[in-house]
Amino acid sequence: MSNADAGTLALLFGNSHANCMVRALRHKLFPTSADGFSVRIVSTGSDAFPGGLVLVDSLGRRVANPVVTRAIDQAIRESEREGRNVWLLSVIGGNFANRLSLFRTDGDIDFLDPDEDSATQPEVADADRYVPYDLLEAQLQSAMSSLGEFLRLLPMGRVAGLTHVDGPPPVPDANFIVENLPERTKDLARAAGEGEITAATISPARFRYKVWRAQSRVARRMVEAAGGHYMSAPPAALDSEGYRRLELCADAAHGTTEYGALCLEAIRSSVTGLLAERAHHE
Amino acid sequence: MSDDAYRTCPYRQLPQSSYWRQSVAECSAGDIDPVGEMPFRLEPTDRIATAGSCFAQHIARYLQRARCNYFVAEQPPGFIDREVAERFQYGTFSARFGNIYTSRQLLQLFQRAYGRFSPVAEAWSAEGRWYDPFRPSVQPEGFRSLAELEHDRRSHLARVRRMFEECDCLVFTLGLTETWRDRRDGAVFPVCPGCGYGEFDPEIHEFVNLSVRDVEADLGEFVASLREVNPAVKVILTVSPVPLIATHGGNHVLSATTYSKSVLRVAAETMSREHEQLAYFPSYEIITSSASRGAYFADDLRSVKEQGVQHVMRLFFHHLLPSVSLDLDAPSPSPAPQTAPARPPEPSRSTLSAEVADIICDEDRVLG
Repeated sequence: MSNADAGTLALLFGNSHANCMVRALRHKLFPTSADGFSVRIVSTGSDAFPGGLVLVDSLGRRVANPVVTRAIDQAIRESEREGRNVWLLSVIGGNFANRLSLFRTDGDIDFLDPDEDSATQPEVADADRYVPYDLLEAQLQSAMSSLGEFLRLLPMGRVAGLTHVDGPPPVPDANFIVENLPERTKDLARAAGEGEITAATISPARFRYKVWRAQSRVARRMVEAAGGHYMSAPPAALDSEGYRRLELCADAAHGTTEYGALCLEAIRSSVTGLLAERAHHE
Repeated sequence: MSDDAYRTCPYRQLPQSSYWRQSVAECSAGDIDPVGEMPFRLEPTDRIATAGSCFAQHIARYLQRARCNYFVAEQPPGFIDREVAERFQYGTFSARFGNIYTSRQLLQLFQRAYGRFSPVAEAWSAEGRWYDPFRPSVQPEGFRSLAELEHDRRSHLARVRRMFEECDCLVFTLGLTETWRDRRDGAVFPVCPGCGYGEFDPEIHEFVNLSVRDVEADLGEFVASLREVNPAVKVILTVSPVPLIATHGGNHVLSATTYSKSVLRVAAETMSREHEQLAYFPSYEIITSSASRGAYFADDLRSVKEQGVQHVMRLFFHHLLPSVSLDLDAPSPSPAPQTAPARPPEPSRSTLSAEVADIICDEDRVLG
């Protein structure tokens, strides 16, 4: 279902990683362009989905949170009048890797990234303990299962498409992380019994990066299984080693408003490209 | 014959447990207690490690349930949920070595952990995945690369050393005498190559049925080696009552089972007589005794019902951990607590049944 000529309305929903995009929109860093691509904020932030991503309706069926599905219904009604495409823009989650790997836990652990040659990962031999990659992925799969289910429950047949934007890659600098921890993360760390948080408390950057890549693989599979398109951080936001550029970090986990604008620009480019390609094939 | 004719009979002063009629025939099955005098007791704070055949998993499960100091030297990272960790056999035994069915396997585990034996068979591969021949089932889909298997094995064997060195008591359940051996170096495998994992090659793999002498020699060497690294360790040997799922020895499987269990039972008895701080605990007798009339076995006449496991573990705690109260209704807490965890939530019988069904038996692979 697409009408590339009439423009596209992207419905933005997600958690804390959507906030940088929301700020970019509010600061007019991402105006509606000549190609008619615009973004509507549906629900974002830590309380974006009251009751959870997936709820059970009165008939006992598992359904996607109505905060999103009602917005989709409304946007589809409007788009039928205006002849626009409706595109779903999910920025849900994205912090699973941080939860698993930000702080060092019980000694140094490490694993081999399956997409890299083992010879390029000599640090693994120095770790106290090896973690099988499949174990890590299984944990991420379990932690992210509600995201996968939510995406599969979206009414994909009624919209032009879905893009899921993953959380940004980690920040390499441990000192920056310590000085810029989000309050919520500090609370969680305290609740988990962490004492004073110092650079030594933070896991090695390389380990965090590999866990983030594992999260990306799991998220990509879930998004593609739901018929959507997976999008990672825009290349312009990365340094030469694939970490997030420090000037685009609002804090240890989240991107700045400029990072949000970069993401939105990358989304627009991807969505218009996908729609144009689809129109070409039709 | 008058009573006077028995005045000097040596049986006269024996305890009731020495008499079949009083201690077996006239007892209800659940009351039979064939456990003799144990050479030691355990304290709730003692670090207890477990290894062995599938039946050993019951012991691990009950130690956790009773909030004993069940020692798991190979823990998953703290961020891994229990359900996920269990799929990868963390906490099934005290380290991630899977089922250890034979005395030879146990001895070779020790030797591999301390660099005294490096088997020729390093890995088995299938469909792009890699399996450790000495614990093929611990990684559900195999390892992603040979390098990953090697890293994990190194990490695993370091934890095995820690287990041997730091446990206060090792409970080992002997399961089988039949095994498959690598002709090149004598390495034995927990599963027959070609039965679910690896490829069978008659030029390389041979069937072996260990004798009493073999098992006694293996266990003797193992205990001596163990006490080199942990002089004060207590050892408890048990024999699994679970019959062989299949035999490759040519006899009827029932005869093969009798041979196997008899050998293990004799070897365990010899060990307990010859070694200090080493006890035999009669799990085998409790389950298989004619007094239970087979009631402790499930319909397949092989799997042990929870009722039988409870009988075994009730006596285990009574004789070895008398200061621990065993709450048979409590579910297992998280694997591997190093200190006593918080009291778990209220349990259900269905939980117990589910746990029995969850017992991992590599031996089942023989049947495909």
